Amino acid sequence: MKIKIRTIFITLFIATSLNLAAQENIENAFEKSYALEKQGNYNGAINLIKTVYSANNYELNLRLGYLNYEAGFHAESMNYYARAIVLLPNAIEPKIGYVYPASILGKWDDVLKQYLDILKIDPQNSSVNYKTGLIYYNRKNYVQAYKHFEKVVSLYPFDYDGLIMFAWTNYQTGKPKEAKALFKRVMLLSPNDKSALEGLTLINK
Amino acid sequence: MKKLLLTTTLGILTFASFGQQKVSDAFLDSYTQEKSGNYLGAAMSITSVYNQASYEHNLRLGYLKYMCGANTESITYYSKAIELMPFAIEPRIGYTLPLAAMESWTAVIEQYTTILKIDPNNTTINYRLGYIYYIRRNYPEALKYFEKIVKLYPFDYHGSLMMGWTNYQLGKIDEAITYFNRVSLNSPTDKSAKEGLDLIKGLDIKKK
Repeated sequence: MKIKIRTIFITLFIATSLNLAAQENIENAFEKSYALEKQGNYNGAINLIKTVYSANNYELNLRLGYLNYEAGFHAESMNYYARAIVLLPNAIEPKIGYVYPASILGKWDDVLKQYLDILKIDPQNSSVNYKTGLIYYNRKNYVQAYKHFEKVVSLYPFDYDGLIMFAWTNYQTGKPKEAKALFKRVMLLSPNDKSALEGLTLINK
Repeated sequence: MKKLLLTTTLGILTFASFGQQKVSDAFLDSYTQEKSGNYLGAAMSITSVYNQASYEHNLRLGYLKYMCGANTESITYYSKAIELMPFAIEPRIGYTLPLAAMESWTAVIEQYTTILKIDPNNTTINYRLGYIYYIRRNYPEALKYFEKIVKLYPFDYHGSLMMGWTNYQLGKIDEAITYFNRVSLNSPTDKSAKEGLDLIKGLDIKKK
């Protein structure tokens, strides 16, 4: 029995020491990678993180997603962010990261999917509602755009970006009265605003 | 009769348009004054056209009065804006500024809690509320709010650090170590995380 306890103790001790050593290695790699990143040496930073890479480590995947994006390796960046998303599916942080390379590559369906997934987790996220609304607006899907801009304006009624887009979406959906009131509100926030003035001129025609 | 109606409508529209122009000018003037640091003048510009039923007027005056240091007046205007748009969180966030300046923390908590009913995952508010509870040593409550942040942003410095400390205070040492270690990845040589890890090491030595 005594020998068994001793064996268990030694095994635990070795496991803890190994964990500590691994954590230290990762910490060192992160620290050095920040220094290289500061110098603009993204490739060097990537290579350093790769020396301690484990596919099941969220932080490593997140960091590699970011560094690859900065280095211009967009497909690789998406892969690492996707891995981070699989590891922590309820986190919105890696999903936000993922949309950067995806949008550079013009993968707007992927971007939209990520945004909609974020909104399932965090329905009132103003920044994501705004960006989702913008994608729909650019696709001329004004009905969907309306839903998202309305959410932004409902939480922040005097926010410039939300207001101007909500005004234009109202205009596009044939609600000139609402659009006019919104453009006027924009004018209070940003007097002589060109976009709001353009909207008002179109309505008054 | 028709002519009279047309003249009256035209008169109202012109008056409304004139009113709108006056309000726009007042806002423009108030922004100019604000830029030069004249908050009192900026507030007076808005007061000259003030309409208590206008959300924008109340919001702007709430902010400008706060900047002037007139906290009670600021609270009154923000309250009015909240009344006008109860589902907006914008005036509620503004409202907490003069309250915090007056150290009315219970009222701040109340407002933050209401904001979270409207926007449950608001990271800034969850952090601030967690922080107030942490300072009050109400660690179980603090944990609820910090937990929400790291669930959405697991690699966020502030959320992870406070999760480290809150878990430490709650005696959840393993969890505290995990979060302090995560902070060390985010911010190598972080003093606060190191302090937390050193305290935990001290506990281990005492146990032995």
